[in-house]
Amino acid sequence: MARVLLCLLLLVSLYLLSVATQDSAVFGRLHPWLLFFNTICLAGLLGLIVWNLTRLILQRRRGQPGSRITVRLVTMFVILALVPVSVVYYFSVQFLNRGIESWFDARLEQQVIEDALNLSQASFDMRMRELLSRMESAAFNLGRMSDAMAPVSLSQLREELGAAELTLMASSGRIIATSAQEPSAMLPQRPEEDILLQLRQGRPYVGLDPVGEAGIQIRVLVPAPGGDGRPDQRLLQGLFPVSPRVNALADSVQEAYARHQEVGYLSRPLQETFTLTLSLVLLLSVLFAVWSAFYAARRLVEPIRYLAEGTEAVAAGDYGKQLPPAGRDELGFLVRSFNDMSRRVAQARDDARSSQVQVESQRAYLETVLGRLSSGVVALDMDGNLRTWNRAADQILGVPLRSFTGKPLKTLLGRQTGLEAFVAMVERRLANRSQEWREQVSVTGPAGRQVLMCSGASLPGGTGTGGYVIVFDDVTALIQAQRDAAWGEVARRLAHEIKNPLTPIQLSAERLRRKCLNVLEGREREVLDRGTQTIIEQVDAMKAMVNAFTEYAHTPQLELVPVDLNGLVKQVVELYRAGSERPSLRLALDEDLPLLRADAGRLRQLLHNLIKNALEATLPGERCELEISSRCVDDERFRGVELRLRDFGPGFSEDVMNHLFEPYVTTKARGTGLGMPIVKKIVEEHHGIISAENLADGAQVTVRLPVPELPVQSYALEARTDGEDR
Amino acid sequence: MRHIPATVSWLALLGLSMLMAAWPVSVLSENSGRAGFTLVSGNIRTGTDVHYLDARYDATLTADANDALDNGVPLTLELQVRVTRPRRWWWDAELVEFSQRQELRYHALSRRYVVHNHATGDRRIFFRRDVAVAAWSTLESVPLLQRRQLEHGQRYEVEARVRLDLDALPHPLRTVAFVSPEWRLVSDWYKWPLEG
Repeated sequence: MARVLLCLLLLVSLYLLSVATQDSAVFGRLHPWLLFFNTICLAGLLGLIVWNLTRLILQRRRGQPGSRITVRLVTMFVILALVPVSVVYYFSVQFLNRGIESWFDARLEQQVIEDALNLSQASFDMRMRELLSRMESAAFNLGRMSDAMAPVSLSQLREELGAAELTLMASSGRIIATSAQEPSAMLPQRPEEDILLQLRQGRPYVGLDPVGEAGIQIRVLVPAPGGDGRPDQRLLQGLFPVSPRVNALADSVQEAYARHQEVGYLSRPLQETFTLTLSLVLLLSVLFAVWSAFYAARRLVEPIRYLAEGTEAVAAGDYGKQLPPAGRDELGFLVRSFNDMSRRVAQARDDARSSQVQVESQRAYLETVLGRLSSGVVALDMDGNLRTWNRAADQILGVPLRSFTGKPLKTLLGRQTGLEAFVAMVERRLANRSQEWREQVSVTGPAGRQVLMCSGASLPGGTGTGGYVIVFDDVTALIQAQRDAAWGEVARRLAHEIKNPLTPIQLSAERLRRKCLNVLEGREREVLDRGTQTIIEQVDAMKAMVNAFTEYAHTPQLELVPVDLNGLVKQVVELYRAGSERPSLRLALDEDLPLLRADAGRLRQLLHNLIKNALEATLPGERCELEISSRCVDDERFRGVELRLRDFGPGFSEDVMNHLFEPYVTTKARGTGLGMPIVKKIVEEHHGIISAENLADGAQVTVRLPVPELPVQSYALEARTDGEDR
Repeated sequence: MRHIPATVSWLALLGLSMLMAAWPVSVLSENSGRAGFTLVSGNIRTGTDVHYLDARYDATLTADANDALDNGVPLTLELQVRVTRPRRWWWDAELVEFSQRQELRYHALSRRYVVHNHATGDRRIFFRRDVAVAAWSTLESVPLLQRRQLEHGQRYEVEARVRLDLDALPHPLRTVAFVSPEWRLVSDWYKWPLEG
């Protein structure tokens, strides 16, 4: 808008300039100011161009996109504007100069006018000479006339001479007497100084007086002798009219000459003015064109620059960049296409992002589901490397699987021993490329021996998505429960079916012995004695065994009270120290153990069973060594008290290890085979964990008993009530 | 790119144009010492009702001005007059301001110089150029103001100067005259005190 206004202003100014140049009365006065104003415009334009040029150079130097093409366009526009204008200018100036010179170089006309002037002057000269001589003779006659008589004589004299006015004056110019043709005429003017000066030198004056609108009159001044023979000189001035016709002719000649002279004189400044105006107009036009060239180039290049910047932005990942619209031409079309493309790219990116988010949320959903599963899930890729797992897998295997992502399962063994069977099974299945399988495997986890029920399947898909999934459950507790239930049943039946006939057998044997022992003699008596004795003893033994089974099968009510484990250990150990076998018992008890909430009697039995088991495991002839330690455990998986019993005997055989806590598993000569199952039962009654393992020189049984969240004393009473309720 | 602020460029433009405008003036003022008008005598004369100014200037015409006169171009002298009352803390109060013109022209047919006072309408005719120029640059009995316009006892100042009226020149010459220092004929301002 400002540009259009400026352009209009410039045009108006140039138009006024051109009007003013053509001698117009109105604008003529404005001409210099218009020139000045236009010069300022010129300077302004020049400044704008310099600014634009500097900007362009800076842009070019910085390598701004589009600057190169702008430079080319500007150069092209400038050349296109400059060349024709320069040619026109050159010829215009030439034409102007020649034209003006030839107009005013009319020698013939000049000659004629000059001749006319000379002729007029010559004709006036003749008349003036004649008037001068008549005036001189009249002046001579005035010598006899005194100043007082002068007015009368002058009037007469004026009529004789035919003058319009005749004046006698002193040499200083003071008027003595005057006579005029027109009675109404004003007092004659005093002659000018230059005339008086000439007369004082004794020379008469004659000349033409151009008296404005009245035309021309002839003025003659001659010296006149003083009146009455006085020495001071007087002056006689006569004014003579010129006939109206001559007057008009003289006016015309003067007018023509003056005009011609002036015009001739003014031709040079006129030429200069025209040239100046023309140059100014041209310069303004050219500079405006140059400036416009910058503008036009910028306008043209702008969409290109935008496109370049937009492309760079898209290349840099800024999708969806929109360029400002750039008209309806091909460039505009290009810009629109770019915007369209950019929008679509951005939309595609957004779609991809949203689907990614969807996938993420599904993954999170699956992860949550997997995390909540109690079964461990492990996914492997085609090469058997770990891909996905859930928290239950972490817990069951006892290994944080995160650190093994992307690694083969075998690397787990470096962290956690006891998983060999699991790893070997999986590898075997993978090697066999089994589609679906189900297998039970036994591993040693953090909670001791575990039985895992594993089922696997190969996943559909190729290298990227395919692989295997293995789901496993810790069925140890389940199996144990089943076994416990089975053994409980066996024990109950045994108690029921076997214990009943035992008493009659025993009674019968005793009766037989009492009745027949005194009757028989010799060898028979000895046989009967030994036979009945054996029956009675064996029946006792069977009774003891059946009682043990009954005890095992029978779940007594727990009396949960605060219990200090260390104190309990010390009590029990004291009993053994005093015993006949005198084992070596070392205690390493943590004195800061928290109180347990447990049944002290059951725990005492647990300790008895464990110590007894160790003693029984000792090979005959060797002294039993036992180390009992307790400590407080507080980690994320377990919080409670750990009790360890370590012996230095032969350890558990591999065979026994799998069924250690089942009834009738023993390698020992003595014992019922129910010691360890009862221990396990007691531990489980207290929600604890028991595990056994073989060390390099002996075996170790670890019992972990949980500690309640609240300090034990605070609900000791409640525990008792709780126990009774059960 | 960082754009040069528009104000800066406009300021630059303004500065440039002011420079351009100042250039001819500086050239002219250099020249004014040689040609122009200088006051020879001047005084304030008090008539019965009116204060008059009589001022005689010595005019030195440049070659261009002489040339133009010879070629029939009339030269117009402009007398600029101001009567002010000086004020200490404020601009001076202006009582009267006017200008008067007197024209000098060569009449080719009669070979005479005509001095025409535009204010009075008087025409005086000279055959010697120096006398004519002297008469042209002499302004007598220029009425300034009525005596009653002045306050009694108050001090006033009369300022006057003469210059060649370029606006009165023929159009083609005017443009050149405005640009060329040859045509810048002007006197200094002269001051006369005036008692009310």
